Amino acid sequence: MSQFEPKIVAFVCNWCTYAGADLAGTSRAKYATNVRIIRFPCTGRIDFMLLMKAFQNGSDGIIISGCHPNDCHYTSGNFHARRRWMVFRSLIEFMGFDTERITFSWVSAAEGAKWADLVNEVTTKVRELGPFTEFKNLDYNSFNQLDNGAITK
Amino acid sequence: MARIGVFICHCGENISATVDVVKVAEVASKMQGVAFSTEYKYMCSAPGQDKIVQAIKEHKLTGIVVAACSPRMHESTFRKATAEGGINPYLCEMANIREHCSWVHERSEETTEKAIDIVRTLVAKVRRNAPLFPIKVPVTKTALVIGGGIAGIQAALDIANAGHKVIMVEKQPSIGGHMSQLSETFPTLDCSQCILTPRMVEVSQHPNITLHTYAEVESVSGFIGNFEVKIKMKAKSVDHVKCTGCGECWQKCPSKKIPDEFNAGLSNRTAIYTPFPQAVPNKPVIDRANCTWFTKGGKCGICQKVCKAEAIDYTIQDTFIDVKVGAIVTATGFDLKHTDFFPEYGYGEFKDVIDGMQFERLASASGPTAGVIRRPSDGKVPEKIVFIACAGSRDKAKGIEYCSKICCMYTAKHAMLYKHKNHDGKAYVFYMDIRAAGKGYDEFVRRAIEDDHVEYIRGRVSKVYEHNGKLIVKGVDTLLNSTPVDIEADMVVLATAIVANKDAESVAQKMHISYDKHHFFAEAHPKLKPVETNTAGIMLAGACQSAKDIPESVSQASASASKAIALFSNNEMSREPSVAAVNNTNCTGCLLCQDVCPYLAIEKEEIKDRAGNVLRYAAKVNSGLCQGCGTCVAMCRNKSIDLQGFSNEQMLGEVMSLLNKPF
Amino acid sequence: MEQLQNKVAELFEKGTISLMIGFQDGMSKGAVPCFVESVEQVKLLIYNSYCKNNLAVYLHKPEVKQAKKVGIFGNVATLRSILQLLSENQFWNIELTVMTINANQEFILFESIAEVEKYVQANFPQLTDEEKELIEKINTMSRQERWEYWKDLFSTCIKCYACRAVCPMCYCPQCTVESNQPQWIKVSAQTSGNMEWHTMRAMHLAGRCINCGECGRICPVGIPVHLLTAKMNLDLSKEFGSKTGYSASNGYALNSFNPNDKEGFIR
Repeated sequence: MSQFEPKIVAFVCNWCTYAGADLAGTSRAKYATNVRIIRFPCTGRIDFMLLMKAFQNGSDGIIISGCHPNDCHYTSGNFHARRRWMVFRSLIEFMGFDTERITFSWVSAAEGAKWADLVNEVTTKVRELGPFTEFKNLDYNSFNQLDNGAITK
Repeated sequence: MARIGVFICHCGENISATVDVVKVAEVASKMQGVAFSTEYKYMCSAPGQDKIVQAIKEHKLTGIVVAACSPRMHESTFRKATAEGGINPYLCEMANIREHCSWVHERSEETTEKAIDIVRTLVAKVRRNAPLFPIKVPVTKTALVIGGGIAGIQAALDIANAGHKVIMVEKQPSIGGHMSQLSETFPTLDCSQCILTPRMVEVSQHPNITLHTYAEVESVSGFIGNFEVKIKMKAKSVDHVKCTGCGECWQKCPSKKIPDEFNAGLSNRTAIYTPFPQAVPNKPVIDRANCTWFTKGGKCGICQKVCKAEAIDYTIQDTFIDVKVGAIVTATGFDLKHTDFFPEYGYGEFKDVIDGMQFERLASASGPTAGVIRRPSDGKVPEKIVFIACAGSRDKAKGIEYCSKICCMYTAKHAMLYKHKNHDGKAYVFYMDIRAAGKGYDEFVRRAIEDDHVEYIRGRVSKVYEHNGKLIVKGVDTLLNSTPVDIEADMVVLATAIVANKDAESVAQKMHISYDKHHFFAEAHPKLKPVETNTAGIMLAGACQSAKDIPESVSQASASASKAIALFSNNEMSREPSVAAVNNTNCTGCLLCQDVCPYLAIEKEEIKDRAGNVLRYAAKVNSGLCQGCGTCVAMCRNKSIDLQGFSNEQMLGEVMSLLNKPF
Repeated sequence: MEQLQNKVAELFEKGTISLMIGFQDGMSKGAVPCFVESVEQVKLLIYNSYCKNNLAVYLHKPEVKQAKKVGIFGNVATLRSILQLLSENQFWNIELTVMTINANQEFILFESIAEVEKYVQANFPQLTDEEKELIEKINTMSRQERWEYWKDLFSTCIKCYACRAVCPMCYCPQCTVESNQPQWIKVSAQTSGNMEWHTMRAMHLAGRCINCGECGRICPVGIPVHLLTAKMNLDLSKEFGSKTGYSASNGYALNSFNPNDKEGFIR
């Protein structure tokens, strides 16, 4: 009886969260294996299109994490990212997207334990939410056939 | 065609204990773009690095992925090895399968799967890596030091002694800053002027230092290594070349009632004046705002008549000069909070309630009372002095929540100086805590208490008022069960808060450096970059960054100088090439990216045709300033701006490949 | 109408404009856009209640840019588009003469952009009741219902990009959707690709869209795409005080920030 294991992609900034995850490693904290990290120079670099792409191509949950406000290595990248996320989240919420599957957080380079906790929390939550079939099945019509774009109405 | 080499490190047993490295190497060999894959016990060792060098040559590799520890550990190691193998070092990336995988999971199939995913992600990135070359920016080997106090002086001397040119700008008629106003310095009770003036003279005589006093920075533009600064030379009204410093002019000047800033308002000066006898340069200037010739349309003119060198010229105007510098050290110093923010202490109301700087001037041998502590009201020597520490600092209600750092020490010093001059006098200090953390500092305070019998009372003062010619100080002793303590004092000295120089905000705005709500300048990183600002090439020294004492100001000044000297050590500056670049055929010129750059690295570029007509505008990144954060890249709607090293294709490639989708 | 024609003829004679963008009679279609290049053609210009199109979109066309001296007539939406585009450095090389007709049917010729700003700020529009109602209706649906609602709508999208063509704010010479290295948005008209396209477009317009509603009106399959950007603007003006098309040096909510932005959802 294989349990569903979610695929979680983490978009993190190099200076804080990546270093925090390194610290979690150095401290041998143990957390779930489901998360895969992609390194960015700053959360300001994270394009919202990448989030959509991740979901579209099989990710069940996403973590986005960076430096705490006022601590950004590049001074203001995380402030811009925060605004972008607020707007993006409001848009996809309006579109009925399950925003429980995206977790935003601030994890500093000293917070290895917070990173480990975060990963475990998110993995548990997304496991309960189940696979993101809603998104994956967008292109399948009600007869379970791949919709080739013809107008059926 | 990509030919990538993948090297899986065992890291002894750190990785191989939990991850099946042989399997990862095998799966990697079949990944798209991989021409060679192997695993080895210690990739960062000499033989390990050699494997990379050999593999590049043998298999004609076009990219390298080393799956090992964190790139924060060994990225530069493996990039060097890649360069040795003959290909561009930026074609090498590290896949973190130790800190992010083997160290945080148990041995299992999932852990090995995760390691494989991570390797595949970085292979997809390296397939799209482009060779990058360090960016060279030319450097002007001249430094600008703004501020001629002890921090500015130290920085200037350090840079000049290293063989580089320095331009120093000081807004007062003389350099020296607040240190020149002090009588003795803690914890050694050195005569302040005696240790400062030799330095001041050194600055004025140093062949590498150009000193501009009575001058201010008007504007700063450009970037690190290539600043262009406009300096306003305020009109001195005295030709310093002709002036011999004889002093006839200020001895004969009839306007004698101007409050003397150097003596903190305790005495008066003339309109044509040198700030103090040891001023550098020791030549006078005319304070036009208070000079009869300028305020009453040409009346008086006595100084010009008595000047034998014919150095006085009322027609001199402000002039401007333009200089090119490579680095700027900001040392604009501090002020004391002067306002009547403590009406309950009668500050500004009662003549005998004074601040620390005024006490320094009273204690100073060259001060208005020749070193005798006298009450400003009637000139009598006080028999009882009360010192109130923390007058304004550490007080959220008054708006200054920080500690001013030096007041505990100088209050002890003032009490000791008073006792040394008046053995029978009584000195009381009302304090909250004693902050004496420097070398010899606590011993100094103990001397005040134990040797000089200064009475320290732990408690705050609620009110000071005048009664029968005495100042009644109502305080409390919290160590004696909060007993109220009333003292009939002859003089009260307030250790007022240190605040940023009143012109700090405008200086910061001219240089585009950040400052906090108290107008102290912001350092780039509170722990690891205390003397740099977020603007590359502009350093901070001294109290302009935060309240500090003389040894710390001098240390910071030398640290800033070392940054400038490091910058000047080459004719060209080499920068990491992870910078943004604009594809200006696609750019719409909306320039919405310009406002997100914290380093002001984005400019407007004119796209012209052959005849020189402007066709349209586009954005352009100054690679000398860009730090590579990529916020502009995520901002651009049609992806005209891209970040080398973390390009759009690379990041999308990573996402797709992580999820094992073709891209 | 007569006033409009007389004034425009005057402008042509004085040489203030060499091209006028306005409306002409479209017979069964009501009113259609019209490009007048000489005094003789001025009599084609009309104004009536069918003149709803946002003409600012034509200011990006190379033929119009070549004309250098352009007059444009429009409603408040057009004026706002012009202001928003000016704050994004577009039209720097066109001498624009802007005209409108106000709610009392009075013809106004603006002497300067500052006057356009004053007029727009005095007559700043809100969303229509219809739009507000529909947004409320969607807001009150459950998440599942919302998803199905938009999924149904997006499944009908045929990727004609008419919404992009008619929008004055979509002026990028190469849109992200046309990039194939890398391919950001799927080209085919499948629901997932359609959702990508509309999400991306809404994000690119957040804080820039002036709610003229043209995109929703022009969609051949009837998707109310203008609601997405309308909702974005409601949120942005509530959270950040963002006002699009307010002045010729407007700020942009997404390239500025406030250190105190609320962030209840960030862990």
